[in-house]
Amino acid sequence: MNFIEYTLTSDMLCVGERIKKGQFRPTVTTIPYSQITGALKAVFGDKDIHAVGYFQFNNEQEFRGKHTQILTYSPRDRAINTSIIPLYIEYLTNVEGKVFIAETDSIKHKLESNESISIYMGAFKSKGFGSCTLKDRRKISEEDLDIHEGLLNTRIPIVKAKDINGMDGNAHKGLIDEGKTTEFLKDKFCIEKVTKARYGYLFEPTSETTGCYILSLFEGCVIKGPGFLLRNTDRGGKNE
Amino acid sequence: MSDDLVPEMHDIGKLIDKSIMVKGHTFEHVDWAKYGIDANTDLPKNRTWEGATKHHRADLENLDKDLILLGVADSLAATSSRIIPVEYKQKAGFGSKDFLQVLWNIGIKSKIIKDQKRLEDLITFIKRPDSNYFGKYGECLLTVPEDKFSPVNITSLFVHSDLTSRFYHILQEYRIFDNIEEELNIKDEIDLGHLFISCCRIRISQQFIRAKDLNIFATLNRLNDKLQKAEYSKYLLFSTEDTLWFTYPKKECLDYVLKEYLRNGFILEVESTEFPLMIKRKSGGSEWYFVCDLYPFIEKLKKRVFYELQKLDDLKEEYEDLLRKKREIEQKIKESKNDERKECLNEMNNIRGRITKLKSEDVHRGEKKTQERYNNIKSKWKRIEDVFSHEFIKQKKLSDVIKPPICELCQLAEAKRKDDGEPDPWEKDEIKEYLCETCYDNRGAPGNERAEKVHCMNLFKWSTQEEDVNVAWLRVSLDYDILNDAVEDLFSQYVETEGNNKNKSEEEIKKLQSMLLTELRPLAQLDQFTDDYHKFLDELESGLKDIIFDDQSWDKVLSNFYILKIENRSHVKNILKKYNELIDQHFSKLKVVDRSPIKLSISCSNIKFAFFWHWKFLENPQNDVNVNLVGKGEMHLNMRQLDEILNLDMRQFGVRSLHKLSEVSEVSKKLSKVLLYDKGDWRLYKEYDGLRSLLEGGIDFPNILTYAKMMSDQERVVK
Repeated sequence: MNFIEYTLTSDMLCVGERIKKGQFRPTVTTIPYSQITGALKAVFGDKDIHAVGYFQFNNEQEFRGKHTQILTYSPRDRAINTSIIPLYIEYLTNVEGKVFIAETDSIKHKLESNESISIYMGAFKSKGFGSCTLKDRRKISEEDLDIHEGLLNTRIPIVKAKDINGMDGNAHKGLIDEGKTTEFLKDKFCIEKVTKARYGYLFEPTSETTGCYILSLFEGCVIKGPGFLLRNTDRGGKNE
Repeated sequence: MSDDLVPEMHDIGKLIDKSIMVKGHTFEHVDWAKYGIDANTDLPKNRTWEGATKHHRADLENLDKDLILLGVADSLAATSSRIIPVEYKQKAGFGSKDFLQVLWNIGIKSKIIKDQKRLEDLITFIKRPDSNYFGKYGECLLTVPEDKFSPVNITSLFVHSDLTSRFYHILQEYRIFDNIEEELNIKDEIDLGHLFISCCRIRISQQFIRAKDLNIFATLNRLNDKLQKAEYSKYLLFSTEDTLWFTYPKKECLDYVLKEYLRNGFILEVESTEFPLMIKRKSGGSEWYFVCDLYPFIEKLKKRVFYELQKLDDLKEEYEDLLRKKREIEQKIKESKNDERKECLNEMNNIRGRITKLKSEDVHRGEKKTQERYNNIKSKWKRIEDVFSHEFIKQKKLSDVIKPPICELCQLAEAKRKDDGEPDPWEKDEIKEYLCETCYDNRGAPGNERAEKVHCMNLFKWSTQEEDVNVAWLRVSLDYDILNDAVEDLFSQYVETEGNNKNKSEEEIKKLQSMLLTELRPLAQLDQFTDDYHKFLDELESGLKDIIFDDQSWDKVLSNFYILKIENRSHVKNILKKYNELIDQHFSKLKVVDRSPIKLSISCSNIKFAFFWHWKFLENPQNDVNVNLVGKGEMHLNMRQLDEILNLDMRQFGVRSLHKLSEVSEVSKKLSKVLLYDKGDWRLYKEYDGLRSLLEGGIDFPNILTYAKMMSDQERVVK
């Protein structure tokens, strides 16, 4: 599988950790599969699109200190004409990241041009957040994948909803627990093995009004896969 | 197995002075008549006495299985602190010491038995089968080193005896010992099986939305208490509120002991190491020796070794690249004219400088040299590749797909609304909450006894009060990875000090240091440190009570986690002062290491501010001491900087000057830094002297600013 790499830039972005009714809405510091794939599908239509990404930093705390801001926002109850409770929205400002799109047949021709692509991603789009630009296109061919073991730097579902029907409740997870990989991870992202799994769930829409949560690998997993999916390796050094 | 063999008493002889024992600690050379004891009638005749006198015997064929077990357990406990053979000790030549060197604090003079009366008491004590050894001799055991030879006189006999007892009881589960007597007769090498050591870090998966969600800490507390009392508590080596260290004989044991934590939704990050155990016959003799090497951080070591090799490879590549560039530039210099030539010469100088540096790293000698260095590092950590280690995460059962709604707290399970049709007592204002069963249970589901009992009663009260209440969330944590590094550093410093006392040459000391450091095993030290850490937490709790004065003004969430009601932010300084005082008292030497393994985090805000945000700050401390004033700023200091900041005489500051700095920083942080150096107002400039000295001493401006904001809050009291 070949991949197309883009540099993503955005002025204001809130890539949500989904906590309903929370007074505080934090942002994650990676670009999960569900977010970027959804944003690209909004531009190119519901095609066979698979993408992931991340923001570039060595130290998350430092990155947060530099790029996160808090917006205090108070939704107004029009019936009683008052704002009841303030919400704190954490968002990223002036960030630059990398996005990797799998070059599938259905999207290949759309990504041939070197022109930049405008997408909207994340939460509070109606309040002006989420405008992103994808530019500096670069092709990563199969030979340049540099497959090795390391820490995953993004969030990827282990399977697609359509592939689950008829299988046991945790058949795909079972494969990973045995130290193997799933068909989806292997075919779409060239992940050969998951050594240490850190799970969570990502939302996948199954129609315009329905969807489900799919078991996913979260950042910090140890996998054997393409170098671009991996964070700088832990050196086991002293006091790092 | 005999009931009366008390394994922890095997080294009871170490409590007796050399003047009585003459040699060793197994009572072989004691002149009993001299102390009025008849060796035939007065000495104990039970199994414990046999254990105390025979546990070092190497002729295993002549011992029964209990005594063999005891010998193996003793060796295991000893290899938890060092694997230094006698000849190394002689080479070091530092001799035996009558004090316990606590690596992170000052040494403690050993309280040992020197007189006839106490010797008689001890003999009588061994005779009693129901002896509470740690109760009676605990205080002495804490002061006597397990090995009196310097520089390994660092592990207390208390920890060693406790570890021996734990290993003894675990080894009893190994079936091989049932036939050990037969095996010894027919084999020269006996594979005893494997011993597992695991470090499990507990993570909370739930988010915190309501005050009731803090009940997850009550659940954690309950599970930790249950673990201490459970039948499988023998597998627990030592623990803090969020880290558990286990040792066990079979892989499945871990699943069993962690079952309850997983059922309650906790995530466990496990680092497990599997050590092969073996006893071997000495060539051509009837003596046996035990083979094992307990080093619990194998994964980290492996990474360090492979990184070192990678680094050397990179340097070698760079060296070859530089040589190629050098040749190209030399050619260019020959062909170029004046201006261009100057540029080339500059570049040439840079390349030459780097080449000289790389030459000092020995990379220029090629692959062979690199390999040699790699092998040196590798040989330091014997059998590193024989030991199987594995890092994994344990979570509750997860399915491939979840139909919405997903649980709003843990986001790891399908939300199931309980008691359909009946109102949920935690639902207010018609807000519907979707939680999974585990989160419902942790919060305190209807009918559950925890539902009636809120974990932090005062917090609950404050959050429903009309008036503004300011609180400080305080959490202390212990990081075992950093502790391991700190132990190595402190041990290295101790070896250096001891070496200097012996007037050894610098080269000799370095050699000795590297040799001894290679042989240090940290497990026993981690155990000992954990004991001290718990004492420290107890004293911190009493200290906090003194600061707060009032039982209604604080809540204990866990033994390392408190909520304190504070009148103003400057009270945080009193807490920091107390903490610093206790660190000086219990861990004075932690101030000389790069990073302290004990971290303090304090986060202050109005009670109504989202706890989720506080938890993010408290869960991952950035530095040794961290203070967060919500909406004002954060302060991250190391232990030395804490000293500096606390030593600053605050009387020189007017509250107004601090307040002014704080107000200006709200407009612009850069402007506030200018104000600090502005000589326009000489009174103000003079008042800021102290703050400037902190800045010049290496503390960042944002930290100083946060401190100024914290102290400027005194104004409210003045008003």
